[in-house]
Amino acid sequence: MEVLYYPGCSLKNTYPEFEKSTYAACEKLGINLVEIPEWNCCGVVPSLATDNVMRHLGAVRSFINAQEKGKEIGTNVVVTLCSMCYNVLKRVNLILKEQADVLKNVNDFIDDQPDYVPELEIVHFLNLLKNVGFDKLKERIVIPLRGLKVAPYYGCALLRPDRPKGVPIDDPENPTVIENLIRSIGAEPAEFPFKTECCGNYHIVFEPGIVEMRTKKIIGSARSEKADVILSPCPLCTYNLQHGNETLDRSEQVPVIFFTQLLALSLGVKSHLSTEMENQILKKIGGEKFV
Amino acid sequence: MKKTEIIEGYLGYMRESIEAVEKTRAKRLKETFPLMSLEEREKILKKFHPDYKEEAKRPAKVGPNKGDLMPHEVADLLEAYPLAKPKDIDLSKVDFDVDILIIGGGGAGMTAALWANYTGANAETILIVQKLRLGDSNSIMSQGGVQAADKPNDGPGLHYLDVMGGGHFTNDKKLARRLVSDAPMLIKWHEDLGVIYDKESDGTMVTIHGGGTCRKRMHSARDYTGLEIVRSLKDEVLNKNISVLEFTSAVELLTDEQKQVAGAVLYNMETQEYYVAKAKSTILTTGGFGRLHIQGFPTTNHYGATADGIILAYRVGAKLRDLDAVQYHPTGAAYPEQIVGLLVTEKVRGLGAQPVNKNGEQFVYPREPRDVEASAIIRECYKRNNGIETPTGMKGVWLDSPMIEILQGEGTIAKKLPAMLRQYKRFDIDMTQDPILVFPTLHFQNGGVIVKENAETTVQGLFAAGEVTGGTHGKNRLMGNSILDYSVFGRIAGINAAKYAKKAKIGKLTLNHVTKYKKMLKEAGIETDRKAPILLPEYRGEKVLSRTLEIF
Amino acid sequence: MSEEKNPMATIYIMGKAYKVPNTLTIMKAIEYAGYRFIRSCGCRGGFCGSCTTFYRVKNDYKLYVDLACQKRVEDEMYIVQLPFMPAEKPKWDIDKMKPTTDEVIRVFPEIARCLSCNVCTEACPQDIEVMRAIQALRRGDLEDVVNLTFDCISCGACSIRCPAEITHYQVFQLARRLHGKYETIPAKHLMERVKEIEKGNFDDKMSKLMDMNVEKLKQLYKKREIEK
Repeated sequence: MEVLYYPGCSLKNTYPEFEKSTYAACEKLGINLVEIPEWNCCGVVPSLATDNVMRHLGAVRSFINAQEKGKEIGTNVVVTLCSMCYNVLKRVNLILKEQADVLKNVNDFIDDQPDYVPELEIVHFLNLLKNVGFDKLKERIVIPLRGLKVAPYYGCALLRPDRPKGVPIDDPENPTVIENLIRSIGAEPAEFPFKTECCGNYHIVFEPGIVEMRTKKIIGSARSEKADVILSPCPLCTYNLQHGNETLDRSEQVPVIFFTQLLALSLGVKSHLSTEMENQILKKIGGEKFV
Repeated sequence: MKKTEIIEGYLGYMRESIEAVEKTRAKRLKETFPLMSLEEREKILKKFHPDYKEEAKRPAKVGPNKGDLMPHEVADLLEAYPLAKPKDIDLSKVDFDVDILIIGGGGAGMTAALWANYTGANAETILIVQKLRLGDSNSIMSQGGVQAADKPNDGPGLHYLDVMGGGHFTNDKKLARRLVSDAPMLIKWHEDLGVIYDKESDGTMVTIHGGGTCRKRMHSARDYTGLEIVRSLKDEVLNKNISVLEFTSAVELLTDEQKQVAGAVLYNMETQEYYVAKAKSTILTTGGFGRLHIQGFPTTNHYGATADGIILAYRVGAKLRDLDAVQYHPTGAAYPEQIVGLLVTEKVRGLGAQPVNKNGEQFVYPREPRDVEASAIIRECYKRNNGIETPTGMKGVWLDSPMIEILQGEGTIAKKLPAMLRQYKRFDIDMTQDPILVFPTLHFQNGGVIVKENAETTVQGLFAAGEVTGGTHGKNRLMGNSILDYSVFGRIAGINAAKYAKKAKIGKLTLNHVTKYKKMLKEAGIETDRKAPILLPEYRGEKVLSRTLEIF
Repeated sequence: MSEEKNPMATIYIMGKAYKVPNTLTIMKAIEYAGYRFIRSCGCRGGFCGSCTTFYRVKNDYKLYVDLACQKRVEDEMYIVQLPFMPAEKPKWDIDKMKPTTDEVIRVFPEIARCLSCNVCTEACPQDIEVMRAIQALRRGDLEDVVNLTFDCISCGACSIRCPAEITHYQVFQLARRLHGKYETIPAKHLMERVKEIEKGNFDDKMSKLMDMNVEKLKQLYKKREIEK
């Protein structure tokens, strides 16, 4: 399967392991990720503004580049990993599909590129996996992670807000897609009441106290469920949770990793986990032989 | 085709000549005009180089170089009265009290400031004064490159021979030796600063020939070599918190009772106030005299190249040399009118473009030393009448730039000469398809203030580096040795000025040397209302229009 | 005939009308009109970026930018210059940095406010694709930034127009230095030559050359082989 791929800035800078483990997993799964040429920042901050043209430009310029590349390789599916990017791209794309006037405005403003015809589909990688089928995925697992207890963390941006309709990747109140992934790779999902709790988001910049308060709760909850790791789909959540860990004693910490890293590990390809982390997991699953 | 119709940037009659150039191109690609012998060079220089025109010069009437021949434009300034009136200057009130005063914020000044800082001078004790903005200088305009003998088939000895030969063996040997020996170290320094030189993928420097070089040792950063180096230096000067005073000129040096230089009188170009800057050591890095338009030539130089440094140094008693030797860059733009005089870098010839006349014939080896190449072009235009005359009366010869694309591959010009390509495109000329019209333009002050190997002038407390100095290049500088000059001697000046400042004791500030100089002018019978330094050229009104040269 | 040879244009310098020959560059036209530059004039050759000029022409809403020394005047041109770009120069210690986007964003957090409006690109007198370069930086591709911005003369036109208030020219300067210092391979032959010179390997040869009389030096000069 060949799909277009939108990485977003965090994956290229702060968390290359998120992207690299995805690539590794996809190669194994026969999914060919084609990076959109010259993609722009999704426009994360301006996309929250109420002005109706400027806030969409970053996303739309990337859509245009995707659209042109898509014509070349024959697809209209854009996959993305980062939760924030997903939320922004998905939302903007839905708006443009539904509101012809906004689409015209944006296309008029961008007079240095072809018009965007809103036919792309923005898909989060978790849903791409779901579409592949977790059963099928299970068949490809080389190292089943038996005995590993994993806290599935969703955060906000994959689930909320459902406006315009169609943004969430799963049931916003009780999502299960990460749990299904965890089961398919042989691990056990922790029942984890704070899985959709907000990590504090950009408060980390000016009010880190808020983030610390919230992430402590999330990590504490995962720990009381005896989770070995927290699985995160989001660079910003990961950053905040790791910050939260740093404010805790070592004994109270729960390591935070990207879901694709665990997926890659179970597929027997490079996980881009730290050696220490990888060994800890392998030890836990009784897999001294893997170490 | 109408003669006066403009087709892709050129007039109809020029197009006819371009057709002739195109006809001979295939043949010319296979053959290069032979190099002149030393005797032929001497002959053509005597007959056609503007420096050899006796009526363009006169002996200086006063000062340390009394009797030496100078171009009238320089002599006029040496024989002029001070710009600043003593009553406007209160020496008892010191506005800036620093260890090292650097006059001129181009390549030499910034290099000196950084190396003074590395040598231990605190950033706050260094002051750069600059007439324009920091970095606005000839240094930033340098396109072609910088020489350094760093390839295995090269060495400082060969570089030395080229420097001496280019200067017709009139150079200060010690300075020339220092220039070539320190060259690789300075390129290495640039590399460490993050200057992006053109390199192969394994890190090997891409080097090419320049006029008068026997080895390919010209390092470049596309054709923005000067820009890339200067912006890196500027960034570093500002990062280090070195003090900079922009839009401020030095109008007079200061001395103390020991007659050592002790700073300068500064002039705020905008508010027209004077400041007194006291310094333990003073470095002159004021650049050259292109904007004096010697013999009416257009110039490649920046707006502030008005010889201020030599005027200041001369009044304080510093000896000068070789000011009669003016470098005319063989290839300045001769068309279109808007860019007349601007530099067409030697790299264009280095990459394979040949100079050809209106009939499409070669008449000179493309890479003779600059003065020889310039003389050959003047001869072709004014003696043999094989030049192409522009609507404003300029004459020029073609530089067959499309040859570069044929010899080096399509796209070479866009990659290696982006500045040049852009400059011509602005006026609808595509130099990848059509040749460009060139004529010599006033480029460099070969001579200047005499310095020793340690960058000290003949006056205590005064150091100098870069174009303001004389000796390194003798009577003629080779391409790629000016960036090198300001790098090597800027560094040395910075280091030695910092060391000197540690020991120096400055007494009472005076302008006695100026009083004495005025007396000398009076005694020599010089009655004039000329004032110097002039700080900026005068272009208001009709003066801005380019003149038709009267060469022969 | 002379009118035809020297057609005049009317230009408005900060609102005041002057008649100038229409063959002149904006810079020369301003001088022809009687002004003497102190600011907004530097190298006069398109390299220093000091003569950034904003203008409009008749019946056109667009605001254009060019260098006064490189742009020819047009009839009915409204001109103002940008003598100074109001921006602090952030200080950095290049020796202590890493060649990453995060490092650049730490110095210039406003990069994250880029809206992708591309007004910067339209303002550039050097035809640099400014927005593309900012986005390339966000993608972490410093080499691409270098290639896109090598011709930047730091005139500041992009930065004056930017709704995100980015000072692009400073961002690019940092990116170029980081790339040059950390991502290009140092020239081995250069390092070796510096060592050879430091060791004094060439001292004897140089001293011999220094002691030679001009005639002998000339012989050597003539005999030297020119590398093909």
